[in-house]
Amino acid sequence: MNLFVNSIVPTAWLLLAARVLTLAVAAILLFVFLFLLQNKRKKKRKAQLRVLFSDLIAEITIAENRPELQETLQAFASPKGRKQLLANGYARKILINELVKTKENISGQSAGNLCWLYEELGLRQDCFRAFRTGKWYRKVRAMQQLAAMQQNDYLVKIYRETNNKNSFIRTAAQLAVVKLTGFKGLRFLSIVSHPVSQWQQLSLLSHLQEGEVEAGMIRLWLSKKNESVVEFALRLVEIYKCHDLHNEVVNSLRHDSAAIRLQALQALREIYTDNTAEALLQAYPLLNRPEQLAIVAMLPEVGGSENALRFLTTLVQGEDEGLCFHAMHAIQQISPAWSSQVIHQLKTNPSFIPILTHLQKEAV
Amino acid sequence: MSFWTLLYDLFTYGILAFSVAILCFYIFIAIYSIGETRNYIRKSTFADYRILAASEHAPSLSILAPAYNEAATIVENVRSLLNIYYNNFEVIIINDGSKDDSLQKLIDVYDLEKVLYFTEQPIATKPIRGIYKSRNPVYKKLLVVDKVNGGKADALNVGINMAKNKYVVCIDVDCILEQDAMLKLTKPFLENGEARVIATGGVVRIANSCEVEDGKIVKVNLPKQFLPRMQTLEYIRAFLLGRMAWSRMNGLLLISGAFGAFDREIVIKVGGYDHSTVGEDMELVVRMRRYMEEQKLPYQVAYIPDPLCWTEAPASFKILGRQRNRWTRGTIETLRMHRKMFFNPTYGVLGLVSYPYWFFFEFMAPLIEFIGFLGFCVLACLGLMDWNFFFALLLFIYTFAAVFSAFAILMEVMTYNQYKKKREIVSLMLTALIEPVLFHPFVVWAAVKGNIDLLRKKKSWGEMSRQGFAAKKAAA
Repeated sequence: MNLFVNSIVPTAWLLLAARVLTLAVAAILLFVFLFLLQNKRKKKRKAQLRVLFSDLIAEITIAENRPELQETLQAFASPKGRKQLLANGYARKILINELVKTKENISGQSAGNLCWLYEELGLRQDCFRAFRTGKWYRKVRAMQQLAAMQQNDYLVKIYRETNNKNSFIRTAAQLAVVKLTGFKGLRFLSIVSHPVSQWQQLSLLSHLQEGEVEAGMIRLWLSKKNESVVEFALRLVEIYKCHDLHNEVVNSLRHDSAAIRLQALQALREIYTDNTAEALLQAYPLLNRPEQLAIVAMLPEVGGSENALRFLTTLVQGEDEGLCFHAMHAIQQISPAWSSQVIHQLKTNPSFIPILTHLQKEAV
Repeated sequence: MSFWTLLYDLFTYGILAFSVAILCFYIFIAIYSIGETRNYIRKSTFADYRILAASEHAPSLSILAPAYNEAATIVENVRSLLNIYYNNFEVIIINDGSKDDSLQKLIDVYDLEKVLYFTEQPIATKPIRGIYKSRNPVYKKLLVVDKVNGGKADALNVGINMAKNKYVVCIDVDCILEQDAMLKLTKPFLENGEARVIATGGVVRIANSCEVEDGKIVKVNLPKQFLPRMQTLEYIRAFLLGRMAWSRMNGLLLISGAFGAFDREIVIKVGGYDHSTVGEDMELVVRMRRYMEEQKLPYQVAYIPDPLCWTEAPASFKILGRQRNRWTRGTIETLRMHRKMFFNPTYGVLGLVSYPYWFFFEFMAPLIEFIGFLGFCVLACLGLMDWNFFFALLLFIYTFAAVFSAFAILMEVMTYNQYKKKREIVSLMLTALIEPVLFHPFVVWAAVKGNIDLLRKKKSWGEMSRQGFAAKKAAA
């Protein structure tokens, strides 16, 4: 067997490689245990620091005025070694994390006290230093912390990152500006050239407060080329019920993007007027099946005129079983009398029987 | 040079080239997965999943769980599915013509009544016998479909037809999900950039010997039994290294049938699961990818390295052999159905890397290994063996396998660290040393048998009896 293969790979080489690999296994095993040991120590140290800092944070949150805050901090720093501890990089990181976590769950004076501590100990400079580094994950963490601690001084610097080509930095900056300034922070939508993902849209929505929405800004975003911005703007219309934008939303039904057309339909469901049903019927032939189904489902809500009933009846008589079912369902909701008429016409049609039985059962 | 020498040369050089290629690929996979895992872990520390859990605007999911003769555990399993941490979802249990009293148990416990339910049938399936919904509003998210037996693929197709939501999650009814499994599985669909996410899959972990309470894993233990422990190591290697690397190059061909989420629209467009293959999970992903490539639509199959789903691994050689036999047949059937993609540049990474990898290193590897073993026997009998060289080569391959497994254990410890006790890590390391000698030859033999069974046109799944988590806990 050694005739050829052995001439390429001598036995001695294989034995040497096997020895190296055996050493590698031993080294990995050793590394695993050292890693576990170090991790255990790290966890223990972290737990100790968290206990220590949670006491400080608890006392700071209940302080009523500036002298009391100073006093609490001095009392904490007075035992031997505490000053060094507060200067230690790892301990400061833990303290920042604890402050941010607590701040997310409280408001009012207590939250203000935490911000004071954050500034007093120079922790915001730590965050800003991290913000200026090239590592995306440190930058992202820093922006999250600066926003959580309401550091509006850094708003301009953070805003500059809202169109960063790195998606993690960009999304963190967008969330930070919204966290710091509310709806006004969304002005990055006017300049953002990258997609705003659905996940990001949900995250942004979770930081917006009711009542601060500006229809004028949304109108501007509805005309943007960035499709995700238009989609998000329609979502804002839907959630904040911006009735003034009805016509712009109707125009979006002719958009090239299917996602936008569907979102426009969802928005119209919330802001419909007497003209909506007619607009939907006009748009219907130009749309895809999912949007057509959505229109059929929303017609009973937005206004069931006789025109709409006639349109739905034509769908019931069509060949698409799904559309037929939903159209019949819509007719039943708009006008039981009209529904009886249609059923009477079609009850002998065998393909209609399962739909009919379903609707009857549902009505019961 | 005589004919026999030429043949001998081809054999030895061929096997050498194949071995070098496979070893190189393993090294590449190990290194390539590191960056992706590190990035994912960093990224997920910034994600606030509570937003999705609480949002009314979170995408709606239809969870599809086919059940066949699962009477012993079905009630608890359904309860566990109904209690998942997510807002917008429905659970569709498809009773695939069970011969036991699975359906009756569900009817009794969940107060189900038969409803007449019109549904569109975009995918052709075996007939539906009845559709059940609960009278109790607490269980309004539950829908049970009773159908004529048609196999797992057919049952899932019924579920896809019935689903009302944009995304379908296909799950084995006896799997145990992590609390945040749905949130993590759904997130990639929402992170859509240019590419449409058509499917997502997560890590499946082995639950044997773990402590289970109320359908949740309360304590993770390394399996005490030999075979499940071997499979634990195998799963760590496959999920933490292999799939992570494939995910990074967007070349993933397989999302575990035990737990995966799909874009319903694309699933319907490609015709749903194919019930002519026993590897329906892999075949669907390949067909969906092929469709997107042919339509020239940008897409992605996402993979989540977090442990999301726990399942019971076969504990006997008989059951394990059947499982691996079936996996082999499924792989070959899928590769055969989509042979058009083999080294076809039209399909990009899929045709030039993923498909050839599966062909050479998943389908061919056990056969070549087996042929190599037969060749070794012949040479040994003829006295042509250079034993020094043979043992040196054997030692090299053995230590290489051990290093690869040790590296996977290292990655596990540095990332998710599920097995926290030192003796569990030692046990895993020992498993890495034993596996190439005791477990791997059996897996190769099962794969060879799979090839033979396929030639004999065997189509069955093979019975997969399970011990059940509750029984195991009592035994412990």
